Amino acid sequence: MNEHDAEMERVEGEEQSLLGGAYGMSRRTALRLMLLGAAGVGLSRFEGVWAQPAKAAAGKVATAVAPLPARAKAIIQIWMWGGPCHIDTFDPKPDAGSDYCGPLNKPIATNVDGIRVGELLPLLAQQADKYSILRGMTHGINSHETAAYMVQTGRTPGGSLVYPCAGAVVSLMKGYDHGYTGLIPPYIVLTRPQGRFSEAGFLGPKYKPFATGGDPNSRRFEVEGVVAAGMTDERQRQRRELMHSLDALGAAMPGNAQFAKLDQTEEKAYDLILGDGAKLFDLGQEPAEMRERYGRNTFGQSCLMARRLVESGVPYVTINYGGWDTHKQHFEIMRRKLPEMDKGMAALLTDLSERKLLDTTIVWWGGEFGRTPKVDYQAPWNGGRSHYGKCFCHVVGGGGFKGGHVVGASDAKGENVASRPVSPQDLIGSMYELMGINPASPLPNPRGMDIQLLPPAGEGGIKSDGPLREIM
Amino acid sequence: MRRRESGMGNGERRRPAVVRQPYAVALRGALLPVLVALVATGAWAQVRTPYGGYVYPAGARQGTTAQVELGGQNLQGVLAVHVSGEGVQTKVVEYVRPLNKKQLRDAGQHIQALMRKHWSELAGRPVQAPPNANKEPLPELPDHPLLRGLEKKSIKELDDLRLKLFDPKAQPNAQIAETVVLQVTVAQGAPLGMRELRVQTPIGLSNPVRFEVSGLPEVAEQEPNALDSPVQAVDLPAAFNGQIRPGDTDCFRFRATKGQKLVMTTQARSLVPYLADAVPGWFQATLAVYDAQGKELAFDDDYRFNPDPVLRFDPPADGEYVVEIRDAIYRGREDFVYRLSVGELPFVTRIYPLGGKAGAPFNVALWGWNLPVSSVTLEGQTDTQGAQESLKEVAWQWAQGPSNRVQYAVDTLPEALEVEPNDEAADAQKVTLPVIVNGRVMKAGDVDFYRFEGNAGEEVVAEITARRVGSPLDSLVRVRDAAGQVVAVNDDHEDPSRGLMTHHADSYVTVRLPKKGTYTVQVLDTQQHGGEDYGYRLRLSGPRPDFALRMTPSSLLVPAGRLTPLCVHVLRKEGFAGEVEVGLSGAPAGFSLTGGRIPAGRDKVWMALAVPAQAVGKPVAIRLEGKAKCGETVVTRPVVPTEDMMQAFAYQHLVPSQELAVMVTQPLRMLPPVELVTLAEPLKVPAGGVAKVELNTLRGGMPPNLKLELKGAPEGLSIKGIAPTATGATLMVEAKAGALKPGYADNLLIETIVEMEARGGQGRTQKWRVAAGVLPAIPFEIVK
Repeated sequence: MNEHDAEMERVEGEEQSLLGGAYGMSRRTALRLMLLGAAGVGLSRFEGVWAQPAKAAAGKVATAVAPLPARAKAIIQIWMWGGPCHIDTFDPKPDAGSDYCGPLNKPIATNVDGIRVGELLPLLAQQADKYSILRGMTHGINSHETAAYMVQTGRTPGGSLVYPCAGAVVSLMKGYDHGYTGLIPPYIVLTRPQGRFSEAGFLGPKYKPFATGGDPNSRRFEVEGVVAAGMTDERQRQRRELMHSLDALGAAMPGNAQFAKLDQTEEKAYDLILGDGAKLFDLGQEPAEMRERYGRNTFGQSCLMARRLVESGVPYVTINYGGWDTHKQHFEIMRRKLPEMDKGMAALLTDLSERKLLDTTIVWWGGEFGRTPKVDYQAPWNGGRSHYGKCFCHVVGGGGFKGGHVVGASDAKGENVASRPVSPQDLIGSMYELMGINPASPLPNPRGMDIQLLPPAGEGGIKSDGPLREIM
Repeated sequence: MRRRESGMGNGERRRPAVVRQPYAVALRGALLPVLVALVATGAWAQVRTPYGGYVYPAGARQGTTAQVELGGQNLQGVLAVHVSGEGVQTKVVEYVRPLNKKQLRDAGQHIQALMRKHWSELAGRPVQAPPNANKEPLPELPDHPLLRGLEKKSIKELDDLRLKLFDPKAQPNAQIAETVVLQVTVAQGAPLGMRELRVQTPIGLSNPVRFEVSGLPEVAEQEPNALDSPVQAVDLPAAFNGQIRPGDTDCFRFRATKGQKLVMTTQARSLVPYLADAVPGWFQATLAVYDAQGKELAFDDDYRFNPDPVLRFDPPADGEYVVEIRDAIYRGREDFVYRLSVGELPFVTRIYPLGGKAGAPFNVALWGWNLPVSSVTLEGQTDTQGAQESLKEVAWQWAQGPSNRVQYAVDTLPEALEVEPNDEAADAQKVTLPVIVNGRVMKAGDVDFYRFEGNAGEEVVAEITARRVGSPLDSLVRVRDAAGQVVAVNDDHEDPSRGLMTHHADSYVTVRLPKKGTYTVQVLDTQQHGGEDYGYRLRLSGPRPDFALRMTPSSLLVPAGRLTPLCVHVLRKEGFAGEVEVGLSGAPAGFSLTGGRIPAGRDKVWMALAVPAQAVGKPVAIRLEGKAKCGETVVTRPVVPTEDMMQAFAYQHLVPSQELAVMVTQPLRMLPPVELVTLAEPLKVPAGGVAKVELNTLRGGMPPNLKLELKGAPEGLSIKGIAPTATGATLMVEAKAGALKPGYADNLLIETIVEMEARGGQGRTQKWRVAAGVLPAIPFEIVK
């Protein structure tokens, strides 16, 4: 049984129960809820959960803690689901020997003197001046769920509260409650929900990401709830007209204020489905050369889609890029997937830079942990790598982060942090600062507790040297 | 024995040629058979120890010969398969390698063509080639068991083969892709019970794989055998055997009569205890019984805490019934092997009390199904000298058949029985320490209360033994003082010596009593269950320092006259922190152990086992034991051989094997490359400094391709360098400053490795590392 499939099955089940059980919402309902928020229409059924308190408390944020000057407007998170190997990507260890490197023992120089990356990343090697490598990432957790929670919330797993992840916090602090008026929800996941934890935590469904579904590499990117599968725009319009013709109550009560608000919401929704929203998701509007540049695969086209979303003002986009849980056939998978990642991510950095968007867009690459530096050649792994949270690497670029730097170091075999440990809260807090979000801001929560967006450095005994000042 | 001459079929890797290095001459003679079994995976080839994943069928009846498949990896060149115990012989029939991609593709073309031919004949029309058919003749197929006699197969057989080879639900699992076909002959008088099979190749001896000698008629599944398949009914008792493929359900039809008390016991997880790459980390079997109309009459997915289900079924009428087995979440693959014993078989569900006082046999009452007795006498000795307690296992041979295995405890402390009523604090049963109280949580929500008098500063242990001896109790223990304040509480306590246990449900707590007075101990089931089965033994006593010993691995293949590493773990209990002296117990001449000491503060130590200078024809079961002073008593404990198994991608377990099997093979013609100059005392390594180890070498000086590496060395200890001397070399061992503190003691195990290069096809160069054994273990100590 494949671990990925088994866990996804379970996780998806959990997610269903979260949505269907606690809040009774489908994905389409969640999208509608976001749209209602955008239209300023309240739904007491949902606001009675957390949305209203969150909004109210969020309102206090501006007065309680001064916002910071924002250098970044958006974050594109390339979520390396499953945990990518640090040694084979951005922290090569050619001198550690074959037990550690396997066949990938020839790192390549980059366009920055002194920085080398894995041999399967030649395009990213030429973009090294645009990003910095954090080689001292650590949290010590080796389980997917808890590590994903730790890396994306900055919080130690456990306890009675389920905290929101960085995307949900950005959605809270930079979304509809704070002047965002975009038609597209402020927190987008391309394409499948992350599923390893409740992204919005106690903030509730309003701050959950909108997961597009579909495949941006297909002929038509069928975004769930936006682009109806197998249905033309014309048929969509005809359906709307049919619905209106059957709306006897609306016809009998012209001028009703509540109905007017619902009409306004509907208008927005159709704008999304048939108007600007649909155009935004239509990658056919990009030149063929541009699509090729990113790579004609789901990841490459997701990167392109992320650029389009950020360009249109969406503050947080996650590309949920799975397949890195390489217990078996590790090197075969590296040879297959890393070139795909290399091309898509390098194109993204280049494209953002050429469009002058990189200065205001943080590109964040990383997964829940790294992988065991020592290759496991025994059965059943036969040349695989397991989970490794003690020492791994992430990459950040743009949005105020300096490029061309290496922060921290692992030891000779990539097994321990040798210098400058970076905890998830160090990293997330640094991104918040660049986004103009004060990490000390209060985080509205169901118990009315005095909680900040991020815990103090070193919480949970995780090594930390604080925010990434050296590259900010 | 029919074995392929070279195992090299079309498209297989050509044998590499050894091209250079000083040892090449010696190696060519000694190691070439080894080398041909190696396959490079990267820059360096990995030594490919044989691995056994499953045996199917996983059992055979006394007095019969059966053909079985053993699935695993690195089985090429299989020389023999050894079985533990007496009365079972094996003969290797064939090694079956997995088909490569080309062979699979070719086989697919053949199957497709043959099926088209059959269908055309049935339809009475000429055979037509598909529109885009290749005009080339069909490719030649390799001689492979799966592909023999394709022309004689029926459409159904061809379709079954097609599904087997191209099942879209199946995932590739290299660790079980190879098979060895065996002929297993079980003598009429062979003892019943579980055995261990180990595969011997030129490279090594595999881990043990479980195989049962039974007394029941054996029935193997015949696909199709889903619920709606026409399956032939059999008479009971019978042992049904099968393998669950992805999405598979297997059904067996049997005849039964009203009044029978049928017991269905499954062996699935008990055959393959852990799967490293699956969640859950074992074949989670379920059982269901249906009547002839397909109505479900009974279902079970586990027996108490044991994942292997056990069903008691009383047929409501004479007739035919079907028992179905599958995985709980419809997974499946070749190592999802099961045995399902069905009949009016004896099955013990509980004993009470769960143990007794050491020193003499004692009686316990017995409950269960189809039992001829209601009480039995159990042997009351602890296992080893000085031991204060032992957990034991017993099974009975009755006229109805062999019973299941039953666990019980023996202890040197005074014993007491629970006396009801004791369900309220006011009714707490008075006990005097030290004591073992035998009790039961008799109903859901029941709480048993005990009270004792204690003194300020007194250290008291409250330990439950229940789950470890088969009770379903999921205990919780709470200790309160006279004022009702909780002074200690525990739900679960991990006992790593129980390698097959994944929920350590027994409670254990140590408390230093804050003041003199009366203390109350509560025992309850955290899941709010209860009943007569929910027995326990509550120990209330002072701490009893003790230990258990485990070693890995449990299979070793060693060339005559060499040494091999093995790792001994000590599981320290109740404050035992001392040194353990480890040695062989009753080993044949020629075997010896070096580094047989686990110093204080160490939990595991690598040792080196030396074997005789002459080969031995079959594996030798070697026993080790450890002695240590626990308090004033010298306690001896066996070193239990185990396999270090992973479960569900994350969890490690030391799973006991029946024996440590050591296969001593022909001596390597290559002379020992290095000899250690014997040390009289432990090596002193200065903290932050270097210690020297003198080595003699074969021809004086160190050959450049001979590498010395430390095995299992603690972090901070490394080989700094090797300086040549007139007679050999001086090895410099460095202790990194700050990494190891003065007083740290351990063993230094030096592994000798010969590196070679071989040129393969297309000018590719492969590098080989051949482990040439270890040197005798060197006890060392970090000094200032």
